[in-house]
Amino acid sequence: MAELAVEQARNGEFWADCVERIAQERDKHSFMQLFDYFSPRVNAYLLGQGAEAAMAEDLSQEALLALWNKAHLYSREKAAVSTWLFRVARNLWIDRLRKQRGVAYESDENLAETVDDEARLNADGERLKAVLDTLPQSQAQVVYKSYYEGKSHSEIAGETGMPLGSVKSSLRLAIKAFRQHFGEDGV
Amino acid sequence: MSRIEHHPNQETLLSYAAGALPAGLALVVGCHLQYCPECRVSVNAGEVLGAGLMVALTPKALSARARTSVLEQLDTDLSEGKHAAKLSVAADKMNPSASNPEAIPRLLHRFLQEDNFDSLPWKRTIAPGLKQIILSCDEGDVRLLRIAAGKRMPVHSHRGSELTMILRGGYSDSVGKFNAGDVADLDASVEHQPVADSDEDCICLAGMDAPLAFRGWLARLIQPIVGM
Repeated sequence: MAELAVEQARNGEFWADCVERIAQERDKHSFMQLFDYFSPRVNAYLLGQGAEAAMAEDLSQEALLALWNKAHLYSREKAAVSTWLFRVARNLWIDRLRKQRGVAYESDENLAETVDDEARLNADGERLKAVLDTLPQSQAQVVYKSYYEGKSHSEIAGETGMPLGSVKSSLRLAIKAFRQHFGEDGV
Repeated sequence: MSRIEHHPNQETLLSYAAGALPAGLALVVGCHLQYCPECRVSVNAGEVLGAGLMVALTPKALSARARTSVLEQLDTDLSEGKHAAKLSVAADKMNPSASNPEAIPRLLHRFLQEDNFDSLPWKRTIAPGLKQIILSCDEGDVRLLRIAAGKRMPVHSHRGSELTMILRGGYSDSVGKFNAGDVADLDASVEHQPVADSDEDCICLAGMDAPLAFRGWLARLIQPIVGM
C-alpha cells in the first residue's frame, strides 16, 4: 500500500513537472504527454455529462489548451493537475449549459487563491473507485449521478424515486465514508 | 463579514464541486466560498474526488484530427482580448473595495453590475416589510430579499431546497442567529419565521432549487448546437 502511494505520488509529481516545463520552456513534448493521458478522460467525463460527441471533443481540446495557455498560473502546492483540469472541464461544460457564463464559479485566476493544503489530498482514481465500490448501492448511486451525470439532489430524487431527504443523507454518508478512508486530511 | 457560523450542508458543497447544483443554488454557494475558507476546503476535497473519478473513467480518445488541430494551436499566441480580461479580473481581486465599497460578493457583483445595494430597484412584495429583486437565472430562482429592520416574516416553509446567504445585517429564527456571510441551507422539512435585527435592514441572497424539468435541461443541452 505504501509503495503504491509512492508510485501514485510520483505520477502526480510527473504531471506537475510537465505543466511547469510548459510554463517555463513552452515544452510541446510535455504538453502532448499531458494531452494523450488526460484528453481521453476529460472527453469521457463530458460524454457522461450528456455532451454530444462533437461538443465533448471541442471542450476537451479547449480544456487542454487552457493548460497550455495558463500553465504560468498553475501552482503544484495548490492543486494536482487532474484537479485543475477537472475544474476547467466542469466550468467549460456548465458555461455551455447556462446562458450566464460563470455565474456560480470563480474564474481560474481566483481559484488559485482557494486552498493551500490540497497537496495532501490524494486524487488517485483507482483508490477512489475502490471506495465507491464498497459503498452501499444507494450511496454509490447518488455519488455517481452527482459526478458523472451532473444531476442535482431533486433530479436524483425524481429519477430514482428516493425521497429528497434520503438523497441528501446518502450523499452525507458517502462523504463520511470517503473521509474515513482517506483520514482526516483526505477526501 | 463577521465570523461565519452557518454553512451550506456537506452534500450541498459536494454537489457544487461536482457541478451538479442548479445555478440558483450554486450562485449562493459560490458567494459564500469567497468568505469561508472552511467550505473552500470541503469543495476542494469534492473537486479532488471529482478529478479522481474523472481519471478513473474508461478513456475515450479524441480523433486524430483533434490532436493535430491542438498541436497547431500551440503556436498561436493568446489573443489580446484574453490578456485584457485576465488583467481586469486580477485587478478586481487585488482591490475589491475600490469598485465595491459594500463588499458585494464578487460573483454577485458581476451579476448585478451595481456597487450599492441601496441603489438597486427594490420592489415591494405582499409581505409587509419585505422587498425583493428577482434575478434572472437559467435554472432555479434567485432573488435578493430585503427585510426591514425589526420586521418579523410570516411563518413559512420551502417547497424544495433553498439556500440563503446574509449579505448585510442579520436575522434570527428557530435555527439560530444569522449574520453577514452565514448561509441557511433549508429544505421542505424546515418551517421558520425569521426576524430581522432591529438596527438595520437585513439583505439576503436566496437561491431556490429549479422546478427541474428534465426537458428544460435537454433543451439547454442542444441550445449551443443549434446556435442560440
